[in-house]
Amino acid sequence: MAIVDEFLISISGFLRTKDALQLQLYLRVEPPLPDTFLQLAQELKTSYRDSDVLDRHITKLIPENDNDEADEGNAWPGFLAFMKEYLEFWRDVNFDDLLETHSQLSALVNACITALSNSTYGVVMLPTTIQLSANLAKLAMMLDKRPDLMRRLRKVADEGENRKTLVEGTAESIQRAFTMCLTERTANKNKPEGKKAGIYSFANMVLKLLFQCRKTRLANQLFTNISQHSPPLALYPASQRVTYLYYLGRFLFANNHFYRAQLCLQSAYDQCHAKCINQRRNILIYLIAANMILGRFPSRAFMSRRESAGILEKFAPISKAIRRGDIVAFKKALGPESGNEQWFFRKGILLPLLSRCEVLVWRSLCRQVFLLTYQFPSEPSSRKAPTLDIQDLIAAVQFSQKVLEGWQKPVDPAAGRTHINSMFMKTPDLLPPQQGPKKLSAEQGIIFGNKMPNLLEMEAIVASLVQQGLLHGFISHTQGKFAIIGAKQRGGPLNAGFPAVWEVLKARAEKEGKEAEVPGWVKTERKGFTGGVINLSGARPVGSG
Amino acid sequence: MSAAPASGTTPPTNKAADKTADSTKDTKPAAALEEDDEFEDFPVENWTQEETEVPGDNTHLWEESWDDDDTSEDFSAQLKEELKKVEASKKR
Repeated sequence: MAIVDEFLISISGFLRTKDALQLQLYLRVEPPLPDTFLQLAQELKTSYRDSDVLDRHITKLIPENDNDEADEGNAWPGFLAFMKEYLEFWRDVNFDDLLETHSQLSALVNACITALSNSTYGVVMLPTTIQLSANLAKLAMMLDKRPDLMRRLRKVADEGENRKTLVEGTAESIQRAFTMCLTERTANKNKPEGKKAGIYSFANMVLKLLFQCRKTRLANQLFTNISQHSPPLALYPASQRVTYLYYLGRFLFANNHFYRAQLCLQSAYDQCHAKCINQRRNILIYLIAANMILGRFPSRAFMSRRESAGILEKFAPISKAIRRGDIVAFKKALGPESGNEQWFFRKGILLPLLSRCEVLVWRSLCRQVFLLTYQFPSEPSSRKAPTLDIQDLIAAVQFSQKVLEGWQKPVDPAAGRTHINSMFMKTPDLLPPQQGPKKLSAEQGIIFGNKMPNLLEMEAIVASLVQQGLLHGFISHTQGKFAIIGAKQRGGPLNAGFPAVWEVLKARAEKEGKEAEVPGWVKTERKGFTGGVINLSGARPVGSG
Repeated sequence: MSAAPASGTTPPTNKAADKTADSTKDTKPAAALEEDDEFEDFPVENWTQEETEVPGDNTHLWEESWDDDDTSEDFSAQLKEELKKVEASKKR
């Protein structure tokens, strides 16, 4: 019997028995494949050049079953259209032309998703749709990394307006399948039954593509829809849970929701297979970045882990600089001198680390200056509030600014020998470089380029730290001092004035209810409208937007 | 088509990726730059809680109190010198 005939008869049989997995196994496109697929292609090329002939042949061998028995599956027009597209794909495909292959595969996936949409029989196509969509996504990702091929496409696309990139267009196609699965009406909203089983498979493909083409804002709608319609994430397989939480964590990170990002990424990391180093490593990079911004540093426990090799070293100089309040070292740790700037940038964490962790450096610097200048009262019952002189802070900051500008200690003629009375000697002031201070760009300086920090700016920074809860006390403008409140009750001025960053930020997140709920992460079963309790605390009146 | 199911158990590899293997020779520097940038697909679909466990300390992954009270290290020592000068000028 001809291969095409045998193939179609088998397919027809699988439809009858609703054998979704056999369908998936037969309806493949990604090489390497058994020789039979090549023979199929060959036969299609020789005997079915005419698509109308092909169409009639498919309808003949996969007949719709009139005697509609409840238990039996059946063919439907959307499926027949897909079958025609599938055989045409094999007839016309040329794997040497990857761009053309992508457009043919796109058409095939679209037909497949349309077949999936049938409300009675469509679900039998779910594994096939997932498989073909994954093939398409993989091909799109691969093409995106081939500028030599994409250039050709761009030339064609430039002529049209509002063009989308190939990756974005692919994401959009697959998103159709995602939406279809998500919005399927099933008896039990809380079970991943029927097409709902495919929600996270498609969501993860779409997310991967959106991150690849840097259109992550388009993921917003996807997360909102999942929040509204998805069964709990915990009911899906581990690989889907971890992948999804990784992308959700990155999305939240990119949108400055570091606390929630940390919750997702930690959960992804904890649930990831111990041997999947690539995935653990990718998760860990963002998990460390989010935690550092929140005032938590990776502990020694990570040192023995394979996935952290080469990563910890990149972050360590940053945390060291934060601990000491050393702004110069902090700028270096993220600057070109570190050799890691490009890496941080490529990962999309350079700017968040620079802008968010700088706040922590300022806090530590205030603490350092306080530690070095504060005279603990000789009388334990003293009621005087411990204070930090803003002038001292200015001196410390101006010193750092001078170092950044290339100021240096004068060369000591007696270098190498320690003066017998060295402890009584004044260290010489820094001198500006002979050719003048190094020209700093805006972000290279402490405040702005070569601007020497002054009282006004330091007061503003201290005020901002107080407002963020990172310093506990108040500023006395007339005295030019920051005074610590509650030193006696909180076990000394250091504990009282400089609370641990993580404690402060965690307490704030909890107060704002960020601990309990992460949009996009369905943790609990949703209650139905009958007999269940509906939480309306977050609901707004109609018309309030 | 009876051969299809029989060989269906072999894991599919990307023909497209195979194809690029030849052409990556001349674009190696770019490829090296992007080393393991991408979050790969998992090789298995599901696993148990036990399979996620790694040896070693799993309870104390993050340092929450990390303030450095050591005033003898380099930066702190330099700062101390600068602050001494401020003190001296205040007394004058």
